[in-house]
Amino acid sequence: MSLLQLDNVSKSFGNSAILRNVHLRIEPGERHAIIGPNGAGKSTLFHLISGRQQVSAGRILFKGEAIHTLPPHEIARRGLARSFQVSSLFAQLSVFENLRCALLWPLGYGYSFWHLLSREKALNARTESLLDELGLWQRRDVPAGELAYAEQRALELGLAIASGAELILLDEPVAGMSATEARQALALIRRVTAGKTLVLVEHDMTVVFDIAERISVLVQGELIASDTPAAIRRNAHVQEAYLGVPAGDQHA
Amino acid sequence: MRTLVLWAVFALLLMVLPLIFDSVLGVSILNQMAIAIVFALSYNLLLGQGGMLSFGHAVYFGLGGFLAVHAMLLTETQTLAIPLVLIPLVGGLCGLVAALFIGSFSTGRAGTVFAMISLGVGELLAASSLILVSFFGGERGVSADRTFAPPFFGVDFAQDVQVYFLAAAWLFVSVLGMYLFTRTPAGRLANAVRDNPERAQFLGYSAQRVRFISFVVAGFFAGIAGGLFAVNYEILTAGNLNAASSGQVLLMAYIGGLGVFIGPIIGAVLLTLINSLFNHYTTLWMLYLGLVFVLTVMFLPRGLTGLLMMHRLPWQQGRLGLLIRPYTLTAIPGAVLVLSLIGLLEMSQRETGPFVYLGIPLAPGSAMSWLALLAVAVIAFVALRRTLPGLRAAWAEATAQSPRSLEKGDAT
Repeated sequence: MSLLQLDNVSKSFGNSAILRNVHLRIEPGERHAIIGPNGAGKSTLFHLISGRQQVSAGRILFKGEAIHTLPPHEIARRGLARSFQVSSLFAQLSVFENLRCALLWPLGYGYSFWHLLSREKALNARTESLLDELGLWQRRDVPAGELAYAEQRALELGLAIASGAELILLDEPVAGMSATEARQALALIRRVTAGKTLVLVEHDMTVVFDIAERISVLVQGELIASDTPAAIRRNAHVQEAYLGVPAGDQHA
Repeated sequence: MRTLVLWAVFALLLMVLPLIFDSVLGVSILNQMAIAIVFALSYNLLLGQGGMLSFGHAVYFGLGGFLAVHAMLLTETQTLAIPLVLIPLVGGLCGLVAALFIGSFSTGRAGTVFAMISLGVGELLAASSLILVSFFGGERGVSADRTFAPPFFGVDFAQDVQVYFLAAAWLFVSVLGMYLFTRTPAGRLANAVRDNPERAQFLGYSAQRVRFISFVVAGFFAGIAGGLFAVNYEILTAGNLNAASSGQVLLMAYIGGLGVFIGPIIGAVLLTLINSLFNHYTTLWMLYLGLVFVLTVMFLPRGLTGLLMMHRLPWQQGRLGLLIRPYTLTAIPGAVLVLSLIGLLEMSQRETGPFVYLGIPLAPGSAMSWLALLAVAVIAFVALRRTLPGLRAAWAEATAQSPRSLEKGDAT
């Protein structure tokens, strides 16, 4: 059974179709990249999977159960986490508090108003080891809104992986970073998502071919290919649609 | 350990205060302060901690208060025998039930929708308080006599100072309760939902449920404040749950400062004090309060506590001394300007005979008084403009970032 399964998923706003009949299978443990030109519907696809937006047609199964009718927090509780293209943090809370909030549900605190956070040793230890892992130890007491860009991206990633979710969706995790920062961020992503299933949207092809085991290509709302990196590289349709080179012109 | 000492100091202060301010007026003001602090802190659970702007928080204060008065009446008619010390709890439970009901549909969204619902519910209740005479007592309100309650270890609460200790005990418990709430998962999540409700949802939390919990807790403590009001004044009227009352608590919390836990306490203490002291001297009190609020919103968005907190960086760097001289230089013309403007306002208000303002006789009828005061105001304004650049420069120097200060920072 696939971990994530999209059957015939479509999304339209009014008359404009953003996604058309998307079929997608993500297997457990896979590292899957979704590529495509701007406006192809990659972010919308993530919004549908994570429950931020409702599908117009089709269904989405996670671990065999339909999740496309659930609100985002119910989907998150089932073990599906995501990051955002534009960092989405708790701006006034410290880095430490941000990460601790991300651990509350997974560690079973629910909406408790009978635990004192400062007394919860296991929770605080987990938060601190996360801080360490993300390289944010020095910045633990700084409000998230005051972090530098690369640090915000690291915290963004941290919020996504904190829960230990089985499936992690990363929306352009290294966009806007310098080459050095991107390299460090990738190493971090590799380290913290070891053993998890990863789906990422990314524009940088070196990143994609470096990290992904399978690649899906989305063009104008349609999934035109889903295969191994080598096969995608050779795929004539992909080259035509995505790279703008007409099939057959390659050897001209 | 340090926090434990702080709480001990707080408890001690509560016990010592009525010994220092032992006049009738003193104790009466202390009682008002205790009520206002609980109310303002409960409001801050909504606005400061949870990002919910409410224009109708007096609903829970008022309902709690009315039910508390009725509970006192039941004791008076010997239907029930509720000890007076438990009356605030009756108010709290009433506020909690009301918040459970209203919060179930008002907390779906923060922002404008929440604010409008709170305003609507507030108006609805204020209107029905004049219609449902059996519960709200119409124009006259509902009154009871607290001394009918069974004595509590020999204390019959006939004197205000006895009421003070009752109020102080509830104040301590309420402040502690609300402080601890902000340090639980539900309290911290309220901050998270305030900052970014969407992200909180992707971490497994329903933003509505998080807001709802804060809302109910805020309603409970507002009800306790209402119950304390009932015990202290022995009367509740429609004025206690209308929009003016809701506005008052907003002003207290905002002027005190929403960002820090202690902010609303400072706001409540200050406004209660100024209100009860100046109410007798001027009819323009509400105008001044409004002006202070507008100025706070414009220049001190984090309130008076925010202003104090701004000085932490210069203090940590040992540069607070740099500010003393420019502060004094600005404060003198600033104070003269404010006082002369107040004088002008007071003169325009009192069209009748002469009056004495700060030891100076002023006559609204004579041009001399107007011109002299106006001249003082203009001179003070010019002087203020000349001293301000010096203050700005000193501030820039005192807050200049040293490498170490980059490590600073503190949330909530």
